[in-house]
Amino acid sequence: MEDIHSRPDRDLVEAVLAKRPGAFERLVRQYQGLCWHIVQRMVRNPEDARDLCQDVFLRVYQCLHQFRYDSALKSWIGRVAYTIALRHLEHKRIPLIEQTDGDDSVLENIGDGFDLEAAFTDEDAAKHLHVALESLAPLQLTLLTLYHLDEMPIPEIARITGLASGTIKSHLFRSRLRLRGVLETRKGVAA
Amino acid sequence: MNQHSDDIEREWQAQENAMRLERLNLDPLREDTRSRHYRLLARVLRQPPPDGLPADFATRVAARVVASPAFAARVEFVLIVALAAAMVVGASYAFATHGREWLPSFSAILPARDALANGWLIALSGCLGASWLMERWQRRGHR
Repeated sequence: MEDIHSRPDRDLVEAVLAKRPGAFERLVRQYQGLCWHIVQRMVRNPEDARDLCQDVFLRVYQCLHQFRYDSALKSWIGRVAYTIALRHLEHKRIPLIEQTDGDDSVLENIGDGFDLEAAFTDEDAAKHLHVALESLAPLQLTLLTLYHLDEMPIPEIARITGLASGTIKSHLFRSRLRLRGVLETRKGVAA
Repeated sequence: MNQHSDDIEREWQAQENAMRLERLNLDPLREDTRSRHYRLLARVLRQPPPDGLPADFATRVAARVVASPAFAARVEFVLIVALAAAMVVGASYAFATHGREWLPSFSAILPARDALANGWLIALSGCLGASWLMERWQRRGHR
């Protein structure tokens, strides 16, 4: 799979290392979306996230000669973004994950008879979901974003975050289950 | 225990199916409430985070990278000046506090005053001039 990506990656990296005009700008343009998704989801504060994104690409520029093509450039840049955002959270003493969600007992507490869309419009439900997403811990929200929005496979997310694939799967499962539960608890509010 | 594992597997499959259908924009053949909720969740999760980076972000970062060597050189120059100033202050303080103890022994080994005025001052001026010329030559080489 990486062979498909390695040629364009190699061309771009070599162009940047050779300081060809416009090459680094092209690299930034290509991966700034991924960087923003990771950093914004981890950090949440837009001002901090913009500054950190700059730091990410400055670090990428300084360390690009260390890139060994053993992963896709996208994963490597994602890893730099994740590490910088993680350090920021540690510095601010913001926990990366919630300590409470240890089991899957929430599965037993979710009923499956309530039709949300009969009670709410899609727009209302989506607004409610956005609020619920903001309450997720930084790691859970970042994993959901990489998996759903960036359509990254779990092994690639594992390369970025340094977590085991099983751990990522577990976080995804529990977060989505919890969000489904949040939607269905609206039953009580709506009734 | 097995029932619990089956439930987890079914729930995971429901989550994954909803994501696939939303990604491919497909209509399911039949959809229960759980699938509909996961579908809605997948739709929301596919929306990019708010705000975003400014349109000229890539241009600005690239410009900063080009400017960074000049900035580093400036920082280096400031650090050298600060270090030199600290050394001068330290030396002056040491001279002021312990100078009287050292001076007689230094005077004994230094050459006579008129020789100092001639030979040593000429040597010192030569050194300063040579290092100034070297610096000018190096700067011209970098341009």
